[in-house]
Amino acid sequence: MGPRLELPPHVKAIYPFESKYAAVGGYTLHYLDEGPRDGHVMVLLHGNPTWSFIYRDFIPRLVSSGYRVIAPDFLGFGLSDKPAEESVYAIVHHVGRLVALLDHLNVSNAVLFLQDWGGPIGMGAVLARPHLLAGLVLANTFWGEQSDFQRNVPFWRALHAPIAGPLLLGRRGMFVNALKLSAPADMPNAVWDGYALPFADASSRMGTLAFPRAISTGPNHPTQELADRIREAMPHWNVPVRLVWGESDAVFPPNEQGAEFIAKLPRATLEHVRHIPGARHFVQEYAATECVQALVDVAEEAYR
Amino acid sequence: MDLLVLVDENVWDEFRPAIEKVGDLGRAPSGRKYRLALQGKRLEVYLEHGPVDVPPPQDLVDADLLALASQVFDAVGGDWSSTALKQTATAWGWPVS
Repeated sequence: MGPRLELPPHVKAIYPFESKYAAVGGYTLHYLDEGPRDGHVMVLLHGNPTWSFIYRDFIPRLVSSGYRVIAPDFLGFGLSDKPAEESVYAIVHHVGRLVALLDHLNVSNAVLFLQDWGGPIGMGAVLARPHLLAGLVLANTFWGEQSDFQRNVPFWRALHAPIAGPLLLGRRGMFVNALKLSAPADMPNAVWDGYALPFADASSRMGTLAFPRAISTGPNHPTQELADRIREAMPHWNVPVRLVWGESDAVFPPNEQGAEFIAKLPRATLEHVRHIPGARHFVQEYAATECVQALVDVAEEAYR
Repeated sequence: MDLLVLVDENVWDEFRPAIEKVGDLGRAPSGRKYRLALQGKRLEVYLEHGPVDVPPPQDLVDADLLALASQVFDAVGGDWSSTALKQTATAWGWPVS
C-alpha cells in the first residue's frame, strides 16, 4: 500500500509512542499499545478526521496509573493504510477490522473511550464481542444515525452528492480544514501538523469522505442495521458509564445524542455527565484532564 | 487521451437522472470539456485532453468540477441548488463566487 508515513521530529516529539502494525483483512492497521501487559485495558477510538494522535495527552497519564492503553488508527486514518476504494470503508468493515485487531491483541474486559465515529465502531465491536466491555466513556459521539444537524444543514448533505463529495473532501481536503473549526483556536503548529500530515493529498482522504457518507440517512442505508442493533443493545449494557461532552458541538449537541445515551444506558445518569463549556466536537483537545478522569472513574468502578 | 480527474464510487440512484440531464459531455464556464461516465454507482469524470495539451493547474480543474457539480445540483432541484453548494464550499474554507 505504498511507503509508510514517517512523522517529522517536531510531531514525533509530541507523539513519542512506539508504532505497531497489524495485517487485518488485507490491509495494514497502525496502532499504539502502551503500558503494562497485565494492566487493565483501555481502548481509545478516534473519529473523523483524526487518528490516535488525538490521544497523545491521555496515554502517558493512563500508563503512569498502571493501565494498558490501546489506540488504533482506523483504516484510512493516521498511519494505517489508505486504500482508494470507498466500499472498504463501510462501517461494518471498520467494525470487523477492529474486532480482528482486538482479538489479535487478546483484549477483553476493557474500558472504551468512544468519540465521534469511535462510537458506532466501538459499540459495533461490543455487539460482536460482548466480553470486550467493562465500561464506557462517551464523548461527542453517536450510534450511526444522522443528527438533526446532519439532516438539516446543507453542507452535510452536499457530501453525499456526486462530484461534490470527492471534490470537497478529497481534492480540496475540507474535512481536515473543518477540524480547525472544531478544535481550540490556540493549538500549536506542531499539533495542526500532526493532524494534517496523514491527509496531505487527495489519495489519502478517501476515509474522510466515506465516514460522512456512512451516516445512516434512513431505513435503506447500509449503516442503519448496525445503528438499530446498537440502539437495541444499549439498555442491556450494565456497565459503568461516563459522558464527557463538549457543549458547543453543533454536530452532536448534548441535549440530543448525550440525552439519548443517558436514556438508554442503564447506569448512565445526569450525575455521570461532565459538560465542557466552550468545547466543540473534538472534546479531547479541550479537556484531556476531564476525559482521563472519566476513564479512571469508570475503571475504578468496573474493576472494583 | 482524456485525463481522469475524479472518481465517485457511491452515486445514489436519486442523482442518476440529474447526471444524465447534464449529459455525457459537460462544459465548464472555462470552456474545458469533461466527460461524465456513470456505470452503476461509479462515476468517472474525464477532462478532454489532447495528447500535446498541457494539463491545467489543479485549482482550475477544481473550479471546473465545482461548476459541473453545480449543474448536477440544479438539475436535481429542490433543496439541491448551486447556491447551496457554493455556500457549502465557502463554509468549508474554499471561498468561491
